[in-house]
Amino acid sequence: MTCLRENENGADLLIGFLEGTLPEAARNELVAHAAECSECGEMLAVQATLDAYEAPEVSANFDAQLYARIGADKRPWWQFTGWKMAIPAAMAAMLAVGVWIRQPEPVAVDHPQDVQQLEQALEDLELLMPAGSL
Amino acid sequence: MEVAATLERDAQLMLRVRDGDETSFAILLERHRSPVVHFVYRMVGNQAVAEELAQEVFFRVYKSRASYEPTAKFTTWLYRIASHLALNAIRDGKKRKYQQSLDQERPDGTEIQVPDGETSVEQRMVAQVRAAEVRQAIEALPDKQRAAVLMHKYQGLGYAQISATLEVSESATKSLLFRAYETLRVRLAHLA
Ligand SMILES: [Zn+2]
Repeated sequence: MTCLRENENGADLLIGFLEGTLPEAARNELVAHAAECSECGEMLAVQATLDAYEAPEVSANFDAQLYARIGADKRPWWQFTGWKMAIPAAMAAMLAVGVWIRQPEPVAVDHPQDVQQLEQALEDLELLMPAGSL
Repeated sequence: MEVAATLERDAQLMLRVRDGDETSFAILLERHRSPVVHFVYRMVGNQAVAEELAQEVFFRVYKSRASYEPTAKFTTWLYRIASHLALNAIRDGKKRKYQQSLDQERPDGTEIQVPDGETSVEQRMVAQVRAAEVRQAIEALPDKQRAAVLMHKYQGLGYAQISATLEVSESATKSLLFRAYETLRVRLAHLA
């Protein structure tokens, strides 16, 4: 059965025909049948009718608009938030830094004692090493 | 570089976009801009909405470049995004807002395009009426049938790729296509 409507594989047949994957014999058979059968004739003829439906040209500024959007998306956050948001944020940051700077220093390190300990350690090391190795 | 050699050109370009090459994105845009806009236009029936949605398609492609993996054909991915956005826009009723008076006139002022070659005014008018009938017949199709038939007829996608794009089985896709073509045959036979 070649008729698209009466064939349970009508969908396969039509899609194969339209996609150009139908074997040549089956293709010729369908074309011959379409000359006799009005429905199948219409089905093949409507393909040319559908070709007549063209879409409008794409606007000239399509790419520019797209790249503007991509560019806006890439921009760092402070360019979006603006100064209304940025000023309080900056002030809060400065305040935090100020608080940190004014923190009382921890107990002062006894530098002279550290140096003394280091010198002592080096002397001890020298004593342990064979003469001339250091 | 066996893998790269067997990859389709679009996937190779997209991998370069992933690696930060902006020129490859420009090439992909050049290759697919018109087909995607045309597809979405035929989906939603309005040029302004179509371009807005197509911009979103390419924006999403660019934005997700870092995670791109060439697991499917590039166009399968591209048309999956495009059909998803178009179907959503239709569902959101965005289309209806623009389409209220579509039967009488083009809301965006654009004329229905007809193939070049018609010279006389009369021939041009006949061609425009025919194109308008085709447009109305396509827009009357159920959403998934319309998406399937548009990809098949105008974007050159095979049923297997459409099946991957719409995420429905291949047999369901064949059925969608056959029913769509059958409905179009009944509605448009008098024009053939
Ligand atoms: Zn038949």
